[in-house]
Amino acid sequence: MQAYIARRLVTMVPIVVLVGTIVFLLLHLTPGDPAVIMLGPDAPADAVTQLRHDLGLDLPLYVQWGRWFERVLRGDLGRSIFFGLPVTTVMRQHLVPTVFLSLLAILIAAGIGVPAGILSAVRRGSWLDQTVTLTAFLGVSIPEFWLALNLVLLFAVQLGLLPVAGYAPPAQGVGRTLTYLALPAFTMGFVQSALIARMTRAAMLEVVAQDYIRTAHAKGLSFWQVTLRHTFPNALIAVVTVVGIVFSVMMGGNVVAETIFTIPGIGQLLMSSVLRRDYPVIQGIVLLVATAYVVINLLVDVVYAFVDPRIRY
Amino acid sequence: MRYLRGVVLFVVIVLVAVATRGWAQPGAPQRGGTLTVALSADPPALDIHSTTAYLTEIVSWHVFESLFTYDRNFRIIPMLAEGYTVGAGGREYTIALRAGVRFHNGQELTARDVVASLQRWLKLAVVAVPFFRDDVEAIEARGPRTVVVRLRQPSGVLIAALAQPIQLAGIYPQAVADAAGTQRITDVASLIGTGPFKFVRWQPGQSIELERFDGYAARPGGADGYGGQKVAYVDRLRFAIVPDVQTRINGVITGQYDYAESITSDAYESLRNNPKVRTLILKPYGQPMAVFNKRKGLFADRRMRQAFLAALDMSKIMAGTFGNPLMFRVDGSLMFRESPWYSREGLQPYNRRDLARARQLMTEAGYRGQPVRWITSAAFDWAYKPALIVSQQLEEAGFTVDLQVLDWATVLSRRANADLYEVFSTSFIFSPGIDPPIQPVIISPTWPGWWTTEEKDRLIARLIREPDVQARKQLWEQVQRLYWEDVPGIKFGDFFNLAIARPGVQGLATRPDLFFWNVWVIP
Repeated sequence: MQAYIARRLVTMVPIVVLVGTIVFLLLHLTPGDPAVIMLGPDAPADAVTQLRHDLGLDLPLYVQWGRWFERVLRGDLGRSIFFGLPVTTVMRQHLVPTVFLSLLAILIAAGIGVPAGILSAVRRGSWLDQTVTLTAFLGVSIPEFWLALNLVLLFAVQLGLLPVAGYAPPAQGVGRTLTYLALPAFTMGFVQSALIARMTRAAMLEVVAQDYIRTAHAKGLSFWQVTLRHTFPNALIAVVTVVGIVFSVMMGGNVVAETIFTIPGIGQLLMSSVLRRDYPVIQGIVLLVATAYVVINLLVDVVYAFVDPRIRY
Repeated sequence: MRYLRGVVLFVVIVLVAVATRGWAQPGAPQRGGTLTVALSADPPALDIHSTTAYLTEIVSWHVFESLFTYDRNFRIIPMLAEGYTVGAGGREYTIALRAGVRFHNGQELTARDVVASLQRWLKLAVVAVPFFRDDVEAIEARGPRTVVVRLRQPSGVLIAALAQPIQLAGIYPQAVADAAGTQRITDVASLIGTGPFKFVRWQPGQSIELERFDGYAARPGGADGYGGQKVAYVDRLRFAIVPDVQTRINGVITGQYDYAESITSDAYESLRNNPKVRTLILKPYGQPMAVFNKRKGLFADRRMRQAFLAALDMSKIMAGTFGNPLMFRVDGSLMFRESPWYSREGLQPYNRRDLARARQLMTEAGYRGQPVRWITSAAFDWAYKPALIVSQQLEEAGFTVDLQVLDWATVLSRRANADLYEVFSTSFIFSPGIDPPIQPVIISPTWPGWWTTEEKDRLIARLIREPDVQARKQLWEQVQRLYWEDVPGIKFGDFFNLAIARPGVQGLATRPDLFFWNVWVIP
């Protein structure tokens, strides 16, 4: 097991390097100049040239890439052009809200999606199944921003139960944090629960058709014993996989929810950094997201071994 | 009799009640509370010397003050200065400072702080300063409260530049200005000014918090425009960063924010009738423009630019872009009607649609349907919507338009390359009373689009040196006439900005450069 994890961690390095390089090249091929954005659009050309020089943006691309990469190896992601702060500091400030939001959203997504998927599989063809299928269909199809705006209209503007937007760090009280995160987490969770419900249902149906399930029924186990002790654990591999994927997507920052609800997270930072052409921050976020994907996938693989005793690394 | 006494008593009680209510009515300022302002984006910096960004200006000028500013009629008045005299044939400005002004760290403002701050600002400022930077021979402290600026040649723009809110010539303590040099100051604790508010903290992407500076030395004699007496009525001033416009609107409706700027004008009708918000039209605000590439390609020929202008119906462009007539006006003057520089000189070619004349000019210039590459961005209504309407009007005149919709950063970078476009969209945001020669958008030969004509350069050179107000106005009118003859770009009209506030927010001004001193909140 340890050897497997170590091997996987080593293979992570080329993936992250490759992702970092591709993003670096894409960014520098995109037109747009951070110096113009910083100095304001009316700045004279010589001031822009000077700032480009100070930022090292006038160097050949391979030199810029080499410098950036050499620093990354030392754990230094550079300084944000816009904030003038180290990228690691800027990202750390924005990471905490995204982590809380993602944890809450994945709890909601799995909390809705998994039971809905199980119920719809065991009551296949019933009105319950059709309701879940229809709701899941809606969840997949509804644009996130539309759902978000309607939830705000209902719960914040009409009923006045929750704040419209914003974020309070847990240091100011976990209850307060939760009131701010409730709507964005539900928006993200509901949309993603649709995918989880569909995957759970499909995996459950596959297992239900197996001989050992019929045997379990034949030996007289109750319906829910069969479902929860035999069917669901065997469908769990697929469920864990989809929950892992959904969670890595969320950790990559949710641009829509974070923008509408003004959560100062990674998604909002990424969005505004792209508009400002803040290259070091964009590169830092993409590296972080790529790493998060790889690590979460690794964790999912490790969880497999616990879920399915036949899997040994 | 007893009955009558009862009536009299009742009337007296009612009168007293009505009169006392008057004392506490919304008209009387109240101290205390927090004012939360929702901004559409983070300012790039809080160091007001370091950028021309509008968001930096409207946050940081609560903290930093300049020697001069503008009154309600956009005329220059002293702020930290007491006044100034000009000697040595227009080459020596002696500026007297107010006594008893303190920085947020408790130090008293002296001429040495002003000298250090202006020297730093002279190196960093990009809008006005290039016109006289090389003429500055020395800035010296003469005693504790007198600053002398010696110039090699007379300047018509020095005091205007010291007063302009964009990239404000704010006064920092000498130690701060010297330590920073030309580096941007990012540490909030070092951003010390003399203003009615001081910085507490900045959480990028989230909020900027300020609190009242109790040692603030206000000018006597009431508020006047951006200057005069400033009072911080609220204890705390908080700028929340809220990029989504619908969230800003909902936040004001529910009372989470007190004020929100940059509200889309199509929301006006629904908000006007909502008792939970007050709409404010910030006026004047900006001018949408199309600027020609005069260095290369089709529009290097002046006749093509004139043909473009002759094809346009400005009323339709402005109405189609901004909808509500309260949010725009059709006016060709390059300086706004509210400014002392306003003039109707030379506006004849503006908004005179004449397709026959357009076609004749195109034929004379030898135009044969080559595509007109117009770079614009859907990020701003004032850029994208006029481009759509104008394209249609141009095609009716026989132009072939290749409208390229890009993100704003790409437009900014492409417009610097003469090979990539014929026309680009921009907007000229109002800056009060700003001296016309320091408007690079229209004037500078190095600004994208590259307007280089000898006559313009000669007029601008005189404007920069001429100190006499009347003579300057006449020179400016000649520039404006030349602008509409030579057509380096086309101003479509004036547009205004919509802001909203909670009804309990009092004392708000509806000028484009937002400020929240002299503003109080009723919970």
